Amino acid sequence: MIIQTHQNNVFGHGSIGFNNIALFNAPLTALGIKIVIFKKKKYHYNMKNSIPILFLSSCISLSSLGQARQLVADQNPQYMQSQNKYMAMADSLTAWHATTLQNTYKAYDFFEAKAERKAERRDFRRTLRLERARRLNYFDPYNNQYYNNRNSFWYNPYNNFQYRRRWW
Amino acid sequence: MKKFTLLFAMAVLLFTINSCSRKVSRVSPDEQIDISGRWNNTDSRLTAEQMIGDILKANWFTNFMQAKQGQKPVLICGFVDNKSHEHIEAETFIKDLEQSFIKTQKVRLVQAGKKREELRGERADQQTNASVSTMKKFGMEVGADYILQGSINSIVDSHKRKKVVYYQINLELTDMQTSEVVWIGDKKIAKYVKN
Repeated sequence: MIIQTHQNNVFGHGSIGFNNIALFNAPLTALGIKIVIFKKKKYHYNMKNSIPILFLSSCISLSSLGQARQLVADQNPQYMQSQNKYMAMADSLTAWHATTLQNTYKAYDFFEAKAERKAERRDFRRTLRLERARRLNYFDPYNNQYYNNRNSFWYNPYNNFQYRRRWW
Repeated sequence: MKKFTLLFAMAVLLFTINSCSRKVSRVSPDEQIDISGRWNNTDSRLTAEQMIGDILKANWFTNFMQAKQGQKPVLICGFVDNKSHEHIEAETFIKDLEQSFIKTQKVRLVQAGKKREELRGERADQQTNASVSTMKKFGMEVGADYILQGSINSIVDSHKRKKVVYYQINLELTDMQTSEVVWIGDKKIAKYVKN
């Protein structure tokens, strides 16, 4: 089996390993494979050759651009602005299609309002009870009820009962 | 006397057992049962019936058929905006409407929203997992000609024991190309509730 190839086609741009082609070939020849390498022809750049290629490529690109921007009758020429804007968010806009958006409001109902007021009062009383119970079990060193300071009746700054002249 | 006491006890026991046990029975979905006065299955059914009756008899349908040489219009379902005071799921009557489109074969329907996302996901999966002969291609979906959108509004007027609830359900059909509204269907339901 003989594999014919150009130097640049086998290992890319460089010629890595091709200096030792005999070493590279040795195990392959044992298997009956031989690699024959041709040197690539040197390409001389010619302006005349490139003119038709350039012309053709520019024609193709211009025609494709024309197709993309081709307007149908009465179409707004600025339509691409809107298209680009909505193309970017199309997924999020259509994700919840075929569903119901719930933008409900609360309507006043006499009985519902009454029941709500009742529930609110009950809730407030319950919170108050819990708060009282919590405060009774809480030892505040600055407001010690056992030693009758500050909050006590006798030390209340808003009454002067202790300094008043008593009848007894 | 003893007999009477025994009978009385039995009667009380029976009454207690009866009153505590829950009873469930199947009823026809067409039967009108109003319990709280809120939006219920009867309202949904009435809306669906009205909309089905209106949408396929309206002028937009014949206009489209004439303009497109007998082609069937393709519809997609958009949002239904519930702006009422209650939680109302529009899918109950929208599905009835969609079902009628398919049953009558007058209108073609394309999938929308999350379901469409799901099937695109499945199609993407087929690109790597399905055999080449059965694999479905991207970019071959049918584009909708019209989009169906809707809104639900309500007005509540209540004083002490009396309440009047008014629902207005609107469905609109809009031309996808021109944004022209070609049909608006409505269903108005008013309820008088006395507590």
